[in-house]
Amino acid sequence: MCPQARPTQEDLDRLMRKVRPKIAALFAARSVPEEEAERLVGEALTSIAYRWPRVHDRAGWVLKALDKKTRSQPEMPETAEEENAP
Amino acid sequence: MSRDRRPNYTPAFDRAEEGVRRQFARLVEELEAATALAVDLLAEPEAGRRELLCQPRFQALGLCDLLLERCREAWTEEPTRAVKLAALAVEVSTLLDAAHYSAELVEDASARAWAHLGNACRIGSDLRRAEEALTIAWQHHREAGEDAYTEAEILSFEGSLRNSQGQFDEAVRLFDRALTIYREGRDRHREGRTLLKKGMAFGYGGRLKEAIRLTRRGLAAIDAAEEPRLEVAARHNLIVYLHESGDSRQALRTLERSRGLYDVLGEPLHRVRLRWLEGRIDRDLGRLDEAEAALGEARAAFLDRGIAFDAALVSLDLAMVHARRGNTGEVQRLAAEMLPIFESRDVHSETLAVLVLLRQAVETEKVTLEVLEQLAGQLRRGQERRE
Repeated sequence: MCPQARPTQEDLDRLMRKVRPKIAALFAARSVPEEEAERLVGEALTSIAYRWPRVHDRAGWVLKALDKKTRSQPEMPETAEEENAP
Repeated sequence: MSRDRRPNYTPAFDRAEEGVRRQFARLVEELEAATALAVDLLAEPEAGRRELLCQPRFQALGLCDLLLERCREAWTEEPTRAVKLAALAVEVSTLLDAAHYSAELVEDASARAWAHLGNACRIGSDLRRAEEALTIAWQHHREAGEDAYTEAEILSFEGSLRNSQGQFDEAVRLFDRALTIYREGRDRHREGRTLLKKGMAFGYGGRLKEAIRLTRRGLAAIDAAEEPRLEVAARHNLIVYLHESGDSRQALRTLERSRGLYDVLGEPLHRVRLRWLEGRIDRDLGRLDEAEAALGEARAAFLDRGIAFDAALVSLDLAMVHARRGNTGEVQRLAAEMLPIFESRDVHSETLAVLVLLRQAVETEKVTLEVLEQLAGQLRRGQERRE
């Protein structure tokens, strides 16, 4: 099949439903702050929308992009985590 | 607080999705507008295009992507146009607003535009400009955060450039790196296309068994509906490798099985090249009348289209048919006719040496089958490496 030129809103929703649990696990393992999580996911979704026809495994692409971006993030120090806890 | 406390990302993800949803209508609108923008831009004489690009509506990522798509469609048949389209995409990419798209997407667009320019230049035989463009593509790729798909694309173009430069081992190494990326991305079609390119590297390097094996694997992996012409080109290569490896009968059987595909999916020039190949196979199977007819048709078709160099290559094959028959007058006539065309080209030093031999043979009226075969081998390798 010819690759779909652009995604629909439904395509993006379906993609996000598929990757949400894995992104959450990844972010938790890397201690990504919640406000940072919003920015990273927003960027990844916009980026994949533009790359839609070129990327075959879109879920894999989003996860890989987020893995790469959060890998270089400094680990949250334990004390800071304690201080921020409710 | 417990160490295994898991943050709740649900509200953050919801907000991210909501944000993208708000932008989505604008994104779709922009991608849909790209076609009309490309029409307007390409309808403008070249001198006026720069002025058009100053208008913000032309500074769009969708337009850049569409120009690259048009470039890919043009590069086999119209390499000069493909170079112009890629250069235009480069220009659009430099005008993209990083605040709107993000710096990563803008740099990635530049990387792909320069990579396409490099590949179009290679196909147009400007290898030096191709090398320069690919170097710039890598720089933008690093700035963009090294997207894997873009990396695979640049690797693949660079592999093709190394093929054209005769550096086949380096080409194989680059194609292998691209293959790893496509396999990880489970992109079977692009994996297949890269296998075909790797097969070409082996074919140029004379490792025909590997070339045949990889071409068959590539053919099994590609999605012909996605790129119909790719299947025609790959089948053509397979027939060439079978023929050159000495299995002309198998080559002919594969050719017969592929004929329908050329008719349905091939461009007119594909069919001319098929007729040419058919003539060479017939010649090597000793079917000299069939060979003469097929080569004569192919030669006339190239001459009709003004493709003098390919017409001269067919004349060379035709001269070999006459040499086998002992028809020295016709050999002499064809050799004298094609020699200035070959001499006018920028050819490799090995080819130049054979041309000197042919010039001497024409002058002394002693053109032999051996000299013709030597020249044909050299020229074909040089020609195929550009494709």
